[in-house]
Amino acid sequence: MTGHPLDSFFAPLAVAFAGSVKPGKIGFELIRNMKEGNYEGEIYPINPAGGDVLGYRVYPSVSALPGKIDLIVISLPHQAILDSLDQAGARGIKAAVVISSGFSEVGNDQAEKTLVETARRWGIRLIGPNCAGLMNPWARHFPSIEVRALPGYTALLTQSGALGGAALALAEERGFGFSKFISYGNRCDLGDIELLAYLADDPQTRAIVVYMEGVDRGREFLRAAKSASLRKPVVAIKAGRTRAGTRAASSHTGTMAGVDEVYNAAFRKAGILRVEGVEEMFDLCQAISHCPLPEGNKVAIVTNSGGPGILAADKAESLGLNVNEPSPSLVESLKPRLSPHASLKNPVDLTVESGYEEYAAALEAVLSEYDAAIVINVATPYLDSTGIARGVIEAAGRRRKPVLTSFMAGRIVKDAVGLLDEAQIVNLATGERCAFVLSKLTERTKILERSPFALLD
Amino acid sequence: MHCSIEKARREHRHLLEPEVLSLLRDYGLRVPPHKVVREEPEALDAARAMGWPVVMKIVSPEILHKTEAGGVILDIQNEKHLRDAFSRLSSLRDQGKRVEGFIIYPFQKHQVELSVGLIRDAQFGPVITFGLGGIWIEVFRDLAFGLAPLSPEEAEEMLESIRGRALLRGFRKQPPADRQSLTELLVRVSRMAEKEEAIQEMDLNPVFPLDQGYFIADARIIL
Repeated sequence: MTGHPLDSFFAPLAVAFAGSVKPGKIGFELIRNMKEGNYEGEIYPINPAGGDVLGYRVYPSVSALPGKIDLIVISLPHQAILDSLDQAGARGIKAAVVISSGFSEVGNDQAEKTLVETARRWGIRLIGPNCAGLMNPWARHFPSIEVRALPGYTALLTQSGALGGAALALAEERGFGFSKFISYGNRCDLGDIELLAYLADDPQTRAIVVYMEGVDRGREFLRAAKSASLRKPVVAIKAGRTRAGTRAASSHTGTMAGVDEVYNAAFRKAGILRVEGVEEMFDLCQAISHCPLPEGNKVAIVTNSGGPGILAADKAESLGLNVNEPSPSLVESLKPRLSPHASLKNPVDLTVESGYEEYAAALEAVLSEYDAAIVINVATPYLDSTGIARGVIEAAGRRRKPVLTSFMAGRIVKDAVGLLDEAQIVNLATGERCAFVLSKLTERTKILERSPFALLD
Repeated sequence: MHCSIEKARREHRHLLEPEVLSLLRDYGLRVPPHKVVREEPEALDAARAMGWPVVMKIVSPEILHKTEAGGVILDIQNEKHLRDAFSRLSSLRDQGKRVEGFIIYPFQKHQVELSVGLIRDAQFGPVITFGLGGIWIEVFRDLAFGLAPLSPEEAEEMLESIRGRALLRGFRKQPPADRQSLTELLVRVSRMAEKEEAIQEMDLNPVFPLDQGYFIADARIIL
């Protein structure tokens, strides 16, 4: 632990679980997730029933626990929560996650207020209530009811536990990992604002994703996001993009302004990168974790097939990237190294039978002139695409510029994609998706170059 | 708080156009020359001094949307037109509307009509808009949004982010817009939005881009 007050949540040495210990109940599932995740610290189930669960001794109350406890995770019914918090406070526990629901989300504001007051009295910090818990996969710490995340470099902060859970399930399928996962639920004490600050300092986190439905302290949120975004990319998935016509307004401007446009303006102010959904988020965060940022917006597309290259170029252009033609000197230097039928424009079309040599030569050459490259390979079963992957890896490795690939498709490129993965080159299903990622990386470059933002407040 | 806002709030009404203009001027915006008159001879004097053609609008705390209420007469070419206009606007007074007077501006026409707006978002505070104006605002909804306070750089990005940005570069013999004064306009509006928290909404529409400066042809503020 590095001594941050919130470290008790993310890297505790001993965790207590107050809740049911019956299989299928949340309390039990939390313990099972910890056990199956190979948590190395102490696990203390608490339930008046006593006995054993999953090989751990069950203690009758918080007061009966041995030794120092860093974190308590509570999934008790309402009436038992406060008592358990009081006991935790008396034991010197300073961190609590309350999974239980039935608070402000159903209009029970009073119960939530009492919960916060009780925690404050003991100096306990709270995550929740009405949340799905948190995870630190690097510490094999999984006090959550969701699918255990793989270790990675992206932190996911989510208001909605269910949406966060769905993202984790999709991530698992894709092999995408997380540095932290936090479902903060009703954010009665610690919410997006405090957690953004924590994650900005977290060395394992390279990108912070905020999955949000709304904000409740807008300007404060923006300030927290801005100071985080100066250190690492902050990506937002904002649910509810529809233009709400609900703004009561007397002016033209008022009736014209959609909620969504205001969010976009706010995100821009804070240097937040907005994405539309989980898929885009995975694409972008994978690139953030492994790619250098482009210095400018000039993108070369190298392909062995016209159609997919043009689709990528169109997408890139529509997203504001520059897909200008190569300079005459670049064309001259490429000519002798490529097939006589190659098209030396942008996309650079190497033609179908190009292999290791052509790809390596073309990529190396375009990277001397462009800020980034998208490499597309439409594989044919009779040609070995692993050679092409090697060519790309070698050429990409010679310069610190982003190179994204789209090797198509399926079984015939499986080995090639494996090599790209190993070399930490991001491979996506289409060139268009590569173009999207590059447009966001370019946006990130601009955020960092922007002269100090006009101050917020 | 600006004194005109304080006064309007005390009287539970929105700002009158002359008050809006003085507020804007105090925040460093360029406002067109104008004169508030009550009687016809005064109106004639004002128009002669300004030079023809002129615009005449009603000044009434009870009329927020002046054009819809028939309270705006554009392109008044001469004294006869002005007398007609005066009697038409006076008839609104005779219909029982409270009328503080009539405001006279020089009449300007421009092919490019822009708008600058302000709304106050419950979460994020003042938001400034910039885009096409006039009647096109409803049709094209070509607006850029920026959170106050705006830096000149952010304001410039807003200018550049509307679909109709080519209109600002000059087209068909129109000179290019004075971008610097337009960005200055946005920056100053954003400062005003931060200082004057009582302002809930504002429309400057239309705003004509000139080769030097700009011309705010109509301004409305909602408290």
